[in-house]
Amino acid sequence: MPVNRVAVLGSLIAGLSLFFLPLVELKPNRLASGIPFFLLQFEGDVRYLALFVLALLPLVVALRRADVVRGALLAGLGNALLFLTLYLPAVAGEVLLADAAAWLGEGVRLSNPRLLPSAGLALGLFGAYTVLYGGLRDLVVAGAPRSLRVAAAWGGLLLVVLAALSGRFDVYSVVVEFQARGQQLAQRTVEHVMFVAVALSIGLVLGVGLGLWAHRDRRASPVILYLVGIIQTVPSLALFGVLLVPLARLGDQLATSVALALVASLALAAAALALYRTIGQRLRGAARQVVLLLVTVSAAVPVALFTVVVASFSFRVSLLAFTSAAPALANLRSAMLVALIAAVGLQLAVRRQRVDTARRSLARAAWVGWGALAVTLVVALVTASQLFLARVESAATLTVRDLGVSGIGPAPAVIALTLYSLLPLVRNTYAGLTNVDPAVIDSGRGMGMSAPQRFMQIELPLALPVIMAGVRNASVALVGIAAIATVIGAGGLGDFILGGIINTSIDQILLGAIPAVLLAVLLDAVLRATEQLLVSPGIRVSGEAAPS
Amino acid sequence: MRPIAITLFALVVLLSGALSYAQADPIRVGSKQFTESIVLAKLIGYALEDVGFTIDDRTPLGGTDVNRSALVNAEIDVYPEYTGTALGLFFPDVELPEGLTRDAEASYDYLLEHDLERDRLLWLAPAPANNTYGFAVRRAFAEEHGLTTMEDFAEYVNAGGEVMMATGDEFAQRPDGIAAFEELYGFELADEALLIIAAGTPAQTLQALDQGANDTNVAMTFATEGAVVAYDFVVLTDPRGAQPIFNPTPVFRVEVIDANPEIPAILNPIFEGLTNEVLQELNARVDVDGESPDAVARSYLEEHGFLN
Amino acid sequence: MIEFEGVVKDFPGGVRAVDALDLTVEKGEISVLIGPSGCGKTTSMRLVNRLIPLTSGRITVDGRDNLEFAPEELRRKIGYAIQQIGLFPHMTVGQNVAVVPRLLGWEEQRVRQRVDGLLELVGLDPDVQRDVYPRQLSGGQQQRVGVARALGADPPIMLMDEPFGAVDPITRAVLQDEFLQIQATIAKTVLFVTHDIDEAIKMGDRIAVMRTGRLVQYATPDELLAQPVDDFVRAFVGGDRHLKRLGLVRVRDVMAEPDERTPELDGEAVLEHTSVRDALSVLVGRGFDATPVVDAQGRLCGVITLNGLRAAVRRAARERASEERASEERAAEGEA
Ligand SMILES: Nc1ncnc2c1ncn2[C@@H]1O[C@H](COP(=O)(O)OP(=O)(O)OP(=O)(O)O)[C@@H](O)[C@H]1O
Ligand SMILES: [Mg+2]
Repeated sequence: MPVNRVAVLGSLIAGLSLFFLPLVELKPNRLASGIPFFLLQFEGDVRYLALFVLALLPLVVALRRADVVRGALLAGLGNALLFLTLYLPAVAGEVLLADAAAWLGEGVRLSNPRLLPSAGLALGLFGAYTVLYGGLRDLVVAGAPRSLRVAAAWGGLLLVVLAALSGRFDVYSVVVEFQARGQQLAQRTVEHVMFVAVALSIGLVLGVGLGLWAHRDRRASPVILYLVGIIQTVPSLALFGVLLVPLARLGDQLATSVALALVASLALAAAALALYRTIGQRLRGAARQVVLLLVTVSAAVPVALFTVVVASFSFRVSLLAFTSAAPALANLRSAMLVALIAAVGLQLAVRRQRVDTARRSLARAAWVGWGALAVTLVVALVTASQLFLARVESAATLTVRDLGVSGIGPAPAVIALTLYSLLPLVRNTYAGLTNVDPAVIDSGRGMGMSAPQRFMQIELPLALPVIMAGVRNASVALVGIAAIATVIGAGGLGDFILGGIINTSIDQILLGAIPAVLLAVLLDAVLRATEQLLVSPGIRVSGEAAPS
Repeated sequence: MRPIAITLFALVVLLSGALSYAQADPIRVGSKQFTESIVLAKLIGYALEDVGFTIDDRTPLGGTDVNRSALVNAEIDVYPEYTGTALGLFFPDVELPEGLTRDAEASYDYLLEHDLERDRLLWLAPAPANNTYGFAVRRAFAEEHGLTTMEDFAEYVNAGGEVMMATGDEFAQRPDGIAAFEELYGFELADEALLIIAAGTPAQTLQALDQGANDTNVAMTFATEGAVVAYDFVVLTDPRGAQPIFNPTPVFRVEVIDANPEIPAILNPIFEGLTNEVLQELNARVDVDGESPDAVARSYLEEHGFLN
Repeated sequence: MIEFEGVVKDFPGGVRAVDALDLTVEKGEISVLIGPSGCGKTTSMRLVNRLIPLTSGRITVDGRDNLEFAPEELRRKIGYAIQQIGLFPHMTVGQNVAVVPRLLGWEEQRVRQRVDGLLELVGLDPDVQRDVYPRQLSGGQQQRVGVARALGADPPIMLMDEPFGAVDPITRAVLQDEFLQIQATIAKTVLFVTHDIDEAIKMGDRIAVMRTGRLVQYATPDELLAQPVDDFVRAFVGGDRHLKRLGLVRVRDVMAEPDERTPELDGEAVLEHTSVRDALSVLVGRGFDATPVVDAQGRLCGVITLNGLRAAVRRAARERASEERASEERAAEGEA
């Protein structure tokens, strides 16, 4: 591989855009547009020109022989460029802001002036990252040690984070916005995570269940797949509109009567099923359809009711568990963090360990860590649910609303998100199970595995890569869709994003969008790691396995 | 696994009956999604919190329809609504008296009576501010052509003045939008004179005016829009009343007021002080200066002695 | 021992896959089911461990009606190597072999020993292959694992559905030889399916020829080749059936003492335990009437001639038939 073309491309992008495009815009306040500034306009000129030179240096380095040295040089330049593209304009910006009145002139409302990053800066960062990526590729190809690769990949980002934490980026408009409204950012982010987590957990149970049903029942499968497909096409606003009144009515009901209704309709379903079992086989045409419909509907009602209550309740309780300032919960959160770190650490150690016995005991210790995490989580959730129900006087007057079900707020949001998560989950579960080689299942039968053993030991593990791909699809999509929850007052990062759109405040939009993107990336990484852990190496594919 | 575990534990908790004492129900405050509505809701919330109510802050809740049905369905207890909006949207099958919507007092009286009767909702005292639609121009432009009222604007247009107006599609197309001004003041804007932004908000049209996109020199706005201050624009007044009156008012479920009859005495003085200028300033502090609505509402209440 | 008594299997849609099948697989013997594709071999086999229910008739396993067992219990007692190998791709070779022992709740220690023992038995190196996944193995290695897995919990009875189907002829021959060697020590009762007549002759103590669900002939390989009952079997065993018969006889059993007419020993003498069929091929190939026979140490120990072969084969067949009659009588006496 002669010239590193990626680095050349990145260098050109960075160099040209840093030189020819405005880097920042000096804005008098949050709304009004301001004055664009180019690199050459910054005071103290020569220093800033170094940035331009730095951007073009990779052009020279990229011509070298491909080896570790070239990779390290390019990665170093990329990282430096990444950091300085953000840092130098911020330094210049402090001077500009001090003089803002002089620059902006009379007549404008000068309050909280700020620097909006402009095209030059954005493209400069993109170019810097491209150079860095080119360097990383060199390092991988040349087989550089892991530590060097990690340092090269994250070094610049670490510097950026450190500078941000030490307040060097306070001039940038997103940071200004964060300082004005940031108190809510943590809360909104947790809400956002909880939307995704709760919707995904419940969607997983429902989705895998429906996928399994579709797989088992060839007549039901087109109907199920069609219905979950339809759900996907219902606009979220319409869905919220449809959910509002029934959920509000449901909220008014006493929990005891709803529980009774639940039991009653389950009994009805059981009776109808028994009826079908005994005489239904002999029924013909319409009568048969009616009985079947009765079974399905009377079973679907309690499942839907139960799901609604569980989804709403779990969201409220999990949110409380992760945000409540109650000391018990705060302690449990710390315990959870410790358990998580321990479990992940041990799990990583298991992979490194080559000695068999040590490996086994490490694995056992890791399981203890995961177990501890699960136990603390459950305890936290129980504590939170007690806290949540503390307002209720007695079980007799407990309404469904007290359990968190309501026409607006988190309940319809979580329910809508759960519904939206179904398509990828059902489809991938169905596809995953259907694509398991029948010969393999047959040999499981021939070995004497019972149906549940076959499902747990053969079908599920073999379908898992495809199911996990569905989970990843669903979760990343949910991070995006959850932003819409704000329109029914459910909170989440959408508060910033939609509010920003309505106010035409790009800063406010970014304040919500940046965490959302990070969240999606993080979630994807976590799920990939989980997949690595769960999917057998015997069936792991290097590329993508999901038919989507 | 988790939902199952949670349900099990919830059931255990319920059955054991180990439930502690009840607190007073919180007041659930909603709002629409634009700055002014949020600020008004925060004013309501902080004022009530100050006298000891627990507040469940549901802002921002969503569009007008979500807020209204949430209130009617007792999902929230109060949100700020505009008289003109309510008359325009909530009585679709009722023939409203002629000229009702242009008369502030009559509008309010009508709502006080009919919303109570039909949906058991109580309108407290309205603010004097009238957040109506209007036309905004740059200050320099207004001075150059001597524009202060819509009458001046009609004269400017009829004398062949250049116009490029940024507007939301609704305002451009509704009979009570631009058309109402045209009819009442006797001018006409050609289709080419309109820069229509789909679902455009005043924030967007004012930004277009600020940036002079497509030679924009007029923009649709709300009278109390904070951005008007930021950009140093002038809103042309509407002396003949082309637009309905939009007085912001706290609307409660009447049960809440019945249970807490002291609430009107707390909120009415606050709303009576909210003029166009005050709201413009409060909105500007949020939209332009970038303060949070909470901070703005609290400091306003403090400065005017509404908090103890 | 497996006994089919008047077994009938109808599939929905009116296909009679197995029709009035009577068949006994003797303890410790390999019975081969053979017949054209779709004649009901796999179906018959799957009736034994109740992977499919039979329509009428009775199947007993070691004397007990197989309906007396719970299906899972029955299947764990019967080793099964399916036609498509069907290894579990997400399990290592070791885990695959350990499936049935684990289902039976064996202790880990015992499972591990058993797995290593079985892998060695089928010619795999436990230390190298135990922890790899099936996709890392060649087709032949996978078939060995399939056999090892079927032998997992040391079942007295084995069902083997074309276990060596998916490999080239040379590897297949090796696998066949190895299995025969294993069988010599473990003496399982095996129902073995193939549609390759050469494999049937080589592997089978008895061969059952099926046609459209019916048993046409059930006999020892030699008998089948010597006296096919009808044209179908005759066509099925092939026009070279007499040559195939020669494949069942060793040179050792038919050679004559060497004398003065015996040709000089050279590179192409035949070994005493080659089959007569191969010896014949040498004679024809060299254009000779006679060729010397040597033992494993390369010492001259006999001679075969074309004329001698003809006479000897007739004699050997007669002797074997009377021997079998004698042993059957002995067995009958033993039972009584
Ligand atoms: N599940 C089933 N449903 C309906 N018909 C079946 C089923 N399984 C097998 N058959 C039919 O029964 C007959 C015997 O099938 P079987 O699989 O036993 O043949 P086979 O002798 O094993 O053939 P091959 O040599 O190709 O494996 C065939 O006609 C087949 O189509
Ligand atoms: Mg078959």
